[in-house]
Amino acid sequence: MTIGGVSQLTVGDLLDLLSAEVPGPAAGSAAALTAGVAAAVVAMAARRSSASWPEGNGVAAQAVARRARCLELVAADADALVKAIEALEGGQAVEAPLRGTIQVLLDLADAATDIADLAALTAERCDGAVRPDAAAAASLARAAVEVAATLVRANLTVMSGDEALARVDQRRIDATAAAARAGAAQ
Amino acid sequence: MSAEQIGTAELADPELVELCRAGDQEAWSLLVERYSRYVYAIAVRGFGLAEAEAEDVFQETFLRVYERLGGLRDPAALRPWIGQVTRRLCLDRLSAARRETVADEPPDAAATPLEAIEEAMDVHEALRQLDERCRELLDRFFARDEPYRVISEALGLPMGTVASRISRCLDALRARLVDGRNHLSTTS
Repeated sequence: MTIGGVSQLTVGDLLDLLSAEVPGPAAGSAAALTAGVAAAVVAMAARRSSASWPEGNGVAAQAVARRARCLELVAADADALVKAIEALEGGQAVEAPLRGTIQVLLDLADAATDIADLAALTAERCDGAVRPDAAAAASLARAAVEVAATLVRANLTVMSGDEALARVDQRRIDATAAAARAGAAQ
Repeated sequence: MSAEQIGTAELADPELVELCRAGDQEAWSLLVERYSRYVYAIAVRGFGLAEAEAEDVFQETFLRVYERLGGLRDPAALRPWIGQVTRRLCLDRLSAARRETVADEPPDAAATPLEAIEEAMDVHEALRQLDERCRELLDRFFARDEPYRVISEALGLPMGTVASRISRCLDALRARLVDGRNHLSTTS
């Protein structure tokens, strides 16, 4: 699965891929897609508020950058997962491919937390008409971080005290706080 | 005063041209460094030249710039002038190649439009004019994909202010882009 390939798929195609029995995109990719959707909603709310909020266009640009990052991660997570499954099924060393899946999930937690922050900032400053959209985007982004954290924990190679767990937990705290800020702005 | 004394990053094109004309080797190295990617991008991505041909165009372009810099009427128009020299040399190469082949090859479909290369150069130039703090913020967020928390810790900024600061830096970048384009349109 390539990044260019993901951006050219229809929503229906992507959902078909997610539903398929064969190894491919799964929950991590779904979370990355969710975070990308959240970023798109933030960009919309920020742009629609730019007449009264001078920083709106700059916030939208940041959201668009993170949206692109999330699309990369949809593909990267599917690739990492396929490699890990192939290694497991083939009786090969699994630690490196499993660590590859964790790295993608940590990158996703980073990007989705940024999106939650942008959504909170937008909810606090945007026009009233799009404030519920910004708050909803914060919830979507926070959900993506939660999924990333759940999947990191489910990974066979992660033990308690692992640096990856500390990092993803910090992102959960940040994203939860951002979603709360966004909710309070309504 | 030489390029070394002034500090190369701050040197604007008119000053650079003046120093090159005065024989400052440091300034000449800076000019080549500043525009080497631009020339190469036009040749390879704009005209689809092969690497060896692009290398020839690169050498010829800077040789011509070196020889004719004294005749450049408006030093502020250095970039459009280098772009024009490069494009002419690329077209010469393509014309010569066509004469040597029986059937013309279709143009390279992957070639980047020249406008996109100019736009990238505009952004690069505008970024160069921003203060160091803004350059670093934009580089960390957009080029290195660093999360806000990492940027906040690395630069000692409150977490909640990073996105707003990046927005203001983007505004400053946009203003410089507009200024640069207005300036180019009056000089080229």
